[in-house]
Amino acid sequence: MNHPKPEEWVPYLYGEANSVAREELAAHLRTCAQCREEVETWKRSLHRLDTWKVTRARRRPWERMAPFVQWAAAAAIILTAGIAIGRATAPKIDTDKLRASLVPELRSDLQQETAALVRQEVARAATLTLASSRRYTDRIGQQIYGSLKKEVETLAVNAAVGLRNTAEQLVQVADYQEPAIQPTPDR
Amino acid sequence: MNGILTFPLLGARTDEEAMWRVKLYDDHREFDRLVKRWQEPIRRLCERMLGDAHRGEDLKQDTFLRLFEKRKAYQPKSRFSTFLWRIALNLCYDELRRLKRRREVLGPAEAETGDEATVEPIAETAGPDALTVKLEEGEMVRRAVMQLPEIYRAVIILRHYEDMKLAQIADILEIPEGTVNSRMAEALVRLSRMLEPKLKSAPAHLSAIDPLNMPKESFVL
Repeated sequence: MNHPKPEEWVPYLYGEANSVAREELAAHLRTCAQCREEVETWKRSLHRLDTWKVTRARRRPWERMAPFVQWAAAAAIILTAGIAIGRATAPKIDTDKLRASLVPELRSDLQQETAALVRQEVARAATLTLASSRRYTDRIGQQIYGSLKKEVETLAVNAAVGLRNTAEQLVQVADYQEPAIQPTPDR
Repeated sequence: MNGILTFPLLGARTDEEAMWRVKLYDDHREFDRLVKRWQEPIRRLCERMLGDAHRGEDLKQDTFLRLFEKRKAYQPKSRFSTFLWRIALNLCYDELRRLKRRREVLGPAEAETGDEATVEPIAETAGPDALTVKLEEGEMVRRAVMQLPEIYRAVIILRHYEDMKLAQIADILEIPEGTVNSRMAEALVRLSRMLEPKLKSAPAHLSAIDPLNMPKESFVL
């Protein structure tokens, strides 16, 4: 029997053989026990290859944090250096001179502040006074309005009563019939 | 010039576009992206070629270092991955040669790894724990693969573990596809010879364990 060469089986084993080759090789396997056994052995070996697992790259937590830690460290170093340089290079302060220059400035600031406060306070008091006086005026106004209203109502009622009396009198007047004059006997 | 070239490339760049930018402008951001995307496959390849996790990690670093050094040699006609795999494989070959020389000079007693040592049938001494047996079986497979000559080892790793097509392997190794097939066949024959007699004594349930990484469609049953 004409057996296929070992290298011909390789694309077949990995499913890369074209359809013609695949058919021919499969047909051969059906009839050739020798090749069948060989191919089965190779398949078993290929399956076994899978038991060799490579280590998986696993980063430890601190390694995962490394970029952040690096940035934090860099920031800390820059900050520290900046502060140190600032302190080292700052000119020495003459306190008396500083005080002498600061006092007038502070004084005028204080004056301005006080004036502003006073102005504010006065304005507030004035507003309050105005508001309360307005409330008082409103109350007086309401009282006057109330009593006036009463007066007007009384007047109106009185007027109504007066009108009614007049009307009744008018009716009476209208109904009045002159008493018939008894003809006096001729004398 | 830079702006004009950048505009149409906005959004997700292909590896080839990214490498082109690395080549032309020394674009470090794109280079970082390439490293992130490819470091795992490259590390796996190196670890399997050397049979050692630490050496694999070191060689992965060397690969990306070399990639940056050789950025001007990159031709956009070819796939970026092919370029990268070639660099990694060449570094692996260099390292293996270096280790071999070292063994020759220092003698086998001083050799660091037991790659060339005779493989004991570990399964016979395995405990009842199936996981232990499986781990030891993995170690046996590692030793068997390490005993393969490098040219066979490379094709087995690229085809089986990295799931590359035979044509792509031929492209990377710059050999005809027929040669890839014959190297694969030779690797299979040698591996079977090494693994078969030892695994006969393995517990019967092991053969029932479904291999995890093997794509089902890869096999014609």
